[in-house]
Amino acid sequence: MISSLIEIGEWIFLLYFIGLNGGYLALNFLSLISLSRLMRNRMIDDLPQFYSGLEPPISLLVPAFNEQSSIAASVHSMLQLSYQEFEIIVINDGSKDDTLKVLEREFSLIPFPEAYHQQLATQPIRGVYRSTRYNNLRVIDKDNGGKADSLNAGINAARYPLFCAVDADSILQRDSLQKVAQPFLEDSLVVATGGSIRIANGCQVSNGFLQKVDLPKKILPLLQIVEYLRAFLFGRMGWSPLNAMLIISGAFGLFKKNVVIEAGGYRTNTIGEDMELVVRIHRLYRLAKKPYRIVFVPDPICWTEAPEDLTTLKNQRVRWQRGLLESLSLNIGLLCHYRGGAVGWLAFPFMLLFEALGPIVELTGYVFMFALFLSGMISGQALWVFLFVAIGFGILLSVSGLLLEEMTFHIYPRPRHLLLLLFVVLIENFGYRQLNSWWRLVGLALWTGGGKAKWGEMKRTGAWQK
Amino acid sequence: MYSGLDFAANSEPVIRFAFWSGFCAVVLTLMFIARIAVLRMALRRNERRKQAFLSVWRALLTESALATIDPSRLPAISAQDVVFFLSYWNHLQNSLRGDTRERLNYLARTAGIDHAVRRMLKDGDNAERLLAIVSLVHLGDKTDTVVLKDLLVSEQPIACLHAARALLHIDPGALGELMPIIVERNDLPTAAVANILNEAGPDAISPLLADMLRNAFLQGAAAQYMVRLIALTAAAHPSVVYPSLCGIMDKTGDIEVLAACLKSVRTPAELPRIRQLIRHPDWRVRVHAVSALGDMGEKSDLELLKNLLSDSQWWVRYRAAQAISRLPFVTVDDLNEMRAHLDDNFAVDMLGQVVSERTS
Amino acid sequence: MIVEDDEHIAQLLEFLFQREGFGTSCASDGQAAEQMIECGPPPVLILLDVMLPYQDGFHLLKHIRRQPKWETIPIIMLTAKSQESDIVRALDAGANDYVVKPFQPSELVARVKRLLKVQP
Repeated sequence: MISSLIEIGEWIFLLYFIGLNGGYLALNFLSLISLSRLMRNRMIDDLPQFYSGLEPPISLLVPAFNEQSSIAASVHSMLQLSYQEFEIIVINDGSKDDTLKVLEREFSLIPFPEAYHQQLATQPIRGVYRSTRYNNLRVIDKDNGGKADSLNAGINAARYPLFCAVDADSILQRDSLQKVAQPFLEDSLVVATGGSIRIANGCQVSNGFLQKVDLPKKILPLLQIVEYLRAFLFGRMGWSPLNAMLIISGAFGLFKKNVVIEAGGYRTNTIGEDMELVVRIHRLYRLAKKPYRIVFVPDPICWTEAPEDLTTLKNQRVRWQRGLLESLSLNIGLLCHYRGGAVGWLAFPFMLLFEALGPIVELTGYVFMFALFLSGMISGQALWVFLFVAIGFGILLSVSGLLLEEMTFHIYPRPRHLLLLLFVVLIENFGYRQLNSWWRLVGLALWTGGGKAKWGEMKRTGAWQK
Repeated sequence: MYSGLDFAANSEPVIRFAFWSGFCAVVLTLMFIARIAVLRMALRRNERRKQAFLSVWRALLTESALATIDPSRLPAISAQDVVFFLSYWNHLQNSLRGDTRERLNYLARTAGIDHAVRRMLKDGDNAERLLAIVSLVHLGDKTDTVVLKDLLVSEQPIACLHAARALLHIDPGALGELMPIIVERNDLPTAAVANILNEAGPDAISPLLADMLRNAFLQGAAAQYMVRLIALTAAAHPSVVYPSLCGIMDKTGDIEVLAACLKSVRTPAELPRIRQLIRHPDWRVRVHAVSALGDMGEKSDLELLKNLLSDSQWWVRYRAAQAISRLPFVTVDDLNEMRAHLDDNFAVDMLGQVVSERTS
Repeated sequence: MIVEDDEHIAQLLEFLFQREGFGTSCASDGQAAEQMIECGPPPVLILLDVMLPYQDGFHLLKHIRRQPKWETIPIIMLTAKSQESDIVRALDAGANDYVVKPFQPSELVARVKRLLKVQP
């Protein structure tokens, strides 16, 4: 009786693992197809441009909270982006430091009598300024309300049909706006695009631009590089051709302004406002049966500083997990809705089953198997095989992420970079993955624990830390 | 491993299944790693090849762009290097003008590159085909037009666009045949088509566009197609396409088509209609009517525009304020005075912003 | 001195002017150019691209004109930006001439020679 129960338990875990990894491999495969198609047309870099001069103008929204030391450099580098027509709107979210003063001094701001067009409700605006040195730079000063609230204020003030939400500490490629705007030119149904985020630790950065790509010396950022490759190159690229990509990173995403306004803007009472918005757009469009496209641009266009210590990393992962759960639960109506399409029937259940609830099954699996082994109910061989499967698939997925990177952008130039990354892929599965699952479980627990009262507070301190 | 296989054959089914799936994962992983290594080696080989090619040809190409070079000095180019040659050669062609380009063509012909290009167009993969099409533009040989025309119906939008552009450069007379194809293919972005029409020049495209507009409207074409056609008239001579556009405005019942026309038409002859449309119930029409009035309005229109400063739609108010400030006879002092005498708060704000934008 | 981010074109320009008997130095981005302006000896003439990484040509132009020793050095802007407003802006900011890409090498040489003759 007990042994057959154990066997059933073993089957469940095994099938879950295989379902999870099989799902990722399928995404990997989809991604492989679309990436190789894309790269074939990229081989020649000197083809004449068809779009020069016709790019839709973009409003760059840069929320800033206590960024006095870095904001001037960030804005200077954003002013250097190569794009036909864009404006930069910095939103000072009630910073307690001298963020506004620094901006005033650096860019010679003067008060600007903006006829503020309130389309989304936000915290009160204290004032609007414009630069006398750069006529495409404005600053909104408002009461503190969090990142989502700041972005909403920025949307209200944006003049252009597309807006791009950027973290103040993001390091952009000079051509990043051109790259993410391209899908909007090619297809009028596109409502949002997101790009690949890469990790800047170890790279040489000067004047807000990337000078030389290199790998970090520390192990934590290295592990995250492999994670990011997996997450972007097939986690997102795989979903994109199905028009089922549920996440556009808050660090860099381009949206059609009126679509976001119609959807109600960013939600201010969630942690993962970037993901929630995208899931909501999917839900509203799918359920209303309106055609739309959300596209992923695989090119590495935005670089970000990854946490280098365990506490910050833990906080980030816990926050991500809570954000994921909130985004899914707030839009649960999309799950297996008869109009849900690939999102409602594939991406959403996949996220829910494997990303949101995955840590429970994963960690229970480990605990269960070890407990059975210690109590002598399964053999050492069975435990060994279980670990072999779990770790084997983990390595397989990371290696396939590396393969996709090598097929497409190969941004790490030296063979020694590749070897180091391969090594990281191996060790990642002994401890780091499990630790990550644990953090995600913590996030899950915090979310179910109804930490609602704490959300607003968390968001204010948390969402800005990097 | 042998003992592993042995045990896998003997245990319970679940363990066996687990073992074999793990085994597959390991095999796949090793295959992926091998593939990564192969790719990296190919990349490096290609890079080295390119460097070797450039070290010889960079100086030769530069020199031959500036002075005719003795053909006997040219080394043979292997099939693999043609791609390198062409990207460099195209780049120079795009950046230079005048007799240098003739010299570059002469170089390509003496080196036998023109034949290689035609071979690439026939047998190459997608990327090579595109490169070949682009190169044909510079070679400018009329015999290539037949192949290019076939490419206009290519499934790939990008190939079609490049072929269209190449055709126009080699043989401007092909426009009549080409234009309906690229305008009607809705997988080609309007912006890209507009760019090609711009290159063709207004003299050539205007009469064709006017005809297409008239016919499409008479045949009751879909609004989406009409809007695209109307947007493309920006590249045409106004005097040629306006009659068709005005004809459409007379009769159309579609808001988007009407708005698109209003965006394009700038002639004082239309002022009476524009003054009427400024009261249109749909704000999308009002916005464009207001902008049009800002471009062409007379002194008497100022009152009309002032009323719109209190429109229910923000965009109409904003464009109205901008329109007023754009009128040539309105000075900044006028604007400030106007602002002082308005009693609508929205209007005051709006004008304030526009004054500030104008003085910046 | 040549400021141009496209290496092929930079190479071509160097070749072109070396053949005419000029010594050339080259900067491939705004930062490198700024360094040359601040530390290097002033050249006889500057060819300046507008679209450059880190600092665009207009900024460099103003920067050059602020340096006492560089005030009178003739500057030719060489750029793909052909809009009238850009040309006006460049000439306003102190450029002596403006050549639009695609350009004709012999014409560029002629313009350079003319500017060098007029200058004392």
